[in-house]
Amino acid sequence: MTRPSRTHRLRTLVARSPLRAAGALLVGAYLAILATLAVKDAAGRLHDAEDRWGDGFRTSRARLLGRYGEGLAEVESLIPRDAAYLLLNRGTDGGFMLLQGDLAPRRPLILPDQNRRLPTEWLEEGVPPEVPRDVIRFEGLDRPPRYFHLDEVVR
Amino acid sequence: MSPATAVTIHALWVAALFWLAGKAAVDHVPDLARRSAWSRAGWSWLLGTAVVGILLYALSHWAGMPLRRGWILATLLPCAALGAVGGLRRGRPSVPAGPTTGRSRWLRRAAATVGLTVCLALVAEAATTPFPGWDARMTWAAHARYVHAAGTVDAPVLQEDAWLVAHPTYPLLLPLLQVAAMELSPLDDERVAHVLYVLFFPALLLVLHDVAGRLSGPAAGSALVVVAAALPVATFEASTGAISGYSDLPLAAYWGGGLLLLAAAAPQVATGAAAGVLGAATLLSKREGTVLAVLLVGAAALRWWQAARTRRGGGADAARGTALTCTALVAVAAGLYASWRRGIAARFQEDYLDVLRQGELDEALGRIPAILAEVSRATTSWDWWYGFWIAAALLLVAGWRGLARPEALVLLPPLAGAVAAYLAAYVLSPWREAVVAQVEVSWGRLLLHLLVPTMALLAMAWGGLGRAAAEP
Repeated sequence: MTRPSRTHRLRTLVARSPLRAAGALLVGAYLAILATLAVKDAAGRLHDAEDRWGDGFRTSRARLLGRYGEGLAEVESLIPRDAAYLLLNRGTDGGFMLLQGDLAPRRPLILPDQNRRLPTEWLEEGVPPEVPRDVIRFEGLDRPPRYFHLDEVVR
Repeated sequence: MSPATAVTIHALWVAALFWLAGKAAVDHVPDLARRSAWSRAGWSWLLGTAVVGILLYALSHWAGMPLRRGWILATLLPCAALGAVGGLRRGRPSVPAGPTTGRSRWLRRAAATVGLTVCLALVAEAATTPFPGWDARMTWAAHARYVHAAGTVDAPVLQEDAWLVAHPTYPLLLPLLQVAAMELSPLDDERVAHVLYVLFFPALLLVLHDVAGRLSGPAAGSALVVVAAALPVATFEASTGAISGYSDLPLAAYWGGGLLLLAAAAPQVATGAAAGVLGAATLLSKREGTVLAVLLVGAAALRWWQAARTRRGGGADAARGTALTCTALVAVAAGLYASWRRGIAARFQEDYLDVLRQGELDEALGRIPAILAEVSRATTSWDWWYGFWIAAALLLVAGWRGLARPEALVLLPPLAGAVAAYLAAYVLSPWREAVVAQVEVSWGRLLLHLLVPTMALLAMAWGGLGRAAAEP
């Protein structure tokens, strides 16, 4: 017995149940659309990755994060990895928490009011000697973070 | 050698160790050991990363083991050697997932092409860019660096309340994999860990193909691989996908994998242990993991009850052993998390009971319409989901007959439970009036957690459609 051709089977399905055939067509079309979108997106990203293949870590970070990323490299070179520092938040959103993460494992002290200001007693009575002298000021994700010595900030 | 090539090679060396450790586990679970090589590869990655992460967590916290190269190798190498020896000792017979037809062959080729292209693009992007997502940068990768610097999960910077750290009580399983990569690779480059994170995606595709294929044949498995590989929310979306460096995709794979082992397998203690390891990894991956792990234990109990009622697949005794083993492992993970968390000074925590304590329940309930409107918008967002949930709903309705099987009855309650828990959390959210913004940024991630069991239900519905088409 010969197997019915694919065209014949399709015709039979359409004749017996047009709704079911339409459903199968829809599923097929949806899968085709998804496959096309996925391959197109992935191919574009492979092409972009080829351009970045020679980038070292800091270059790739600066490419992703722009001026903020370039500034990170400078700040990192000024504060040792095992050191603590003061993080002053001059940003308008929660971006300073990103700076905390980007500079880890360096440890930022918690300061009042989401790290927007130094404790009042430090300003009135002097900064305790155990407080780290390195200050990093976050100024937004579109600007590089800036380094200060504590004396410059307190003054 | 170019930097990205070096990153890729170093990541694959670490990944091979994780994978071999997982293969050792798979070799000892008869239900998994019988599956095809590709299926075992996916399960090996999930179990390997889970076992390694849990061991490092427990040994560091309970035994004070330093998280340094020598100690990590001493933990990893015996497991990896066991996996390697298991592979040399015997070749495993592969179990075909179902009859192969012309349509399924065509679909399989399409799925392989799409899946492979997307996975290659993910690896290439991860090898050439740092973690892009906010939570990855401010929480997960940051915690990995704090723990790496301290050489212990009990890092003083997490424990002491003097330090500004985002979400210090978030569980550390995924950061610990990153710590292992930092110790085992001489490269000082977080992109090595980024590549390891994206490898969860091919593992997820392989597991989906395996499970869907076993439930409804190879065509269903291949079709669902195409769908999963296309979803931006699971792949290239910078705040949820595999590329993001968030713990959500690994969490989805662990939880979904554990549920599917419980739902589909004939009850065996070894299967319960594998599901328990994945449940433990769920709990130790993210805060929501606690709720999901409890739901997984509930599924194990349901499976036991089901077997006791119907004597399906080996009887109630085996199902009881499966459920108890799974529960015991999740309980150990809960103990580990609670003990580790006790040492941490809580700060920047979102308190989901504060609304109740302040007597604001009425106002909270009044926010339900706005929450549901945003949930609906985010669920149907084309940019994130390409219409997946609408298509899924249509397929589930059209193929409802396929859902009348015991596996569906094990998967549906945890799925419903997770949705209910997440919606309740929004209602009680400490974000209060700003909760819509919270839904906007988080609902996609929470839905991603449900992807694997949902895909399994879709495979069953696909099978139901096939049966309906075969009827006169």
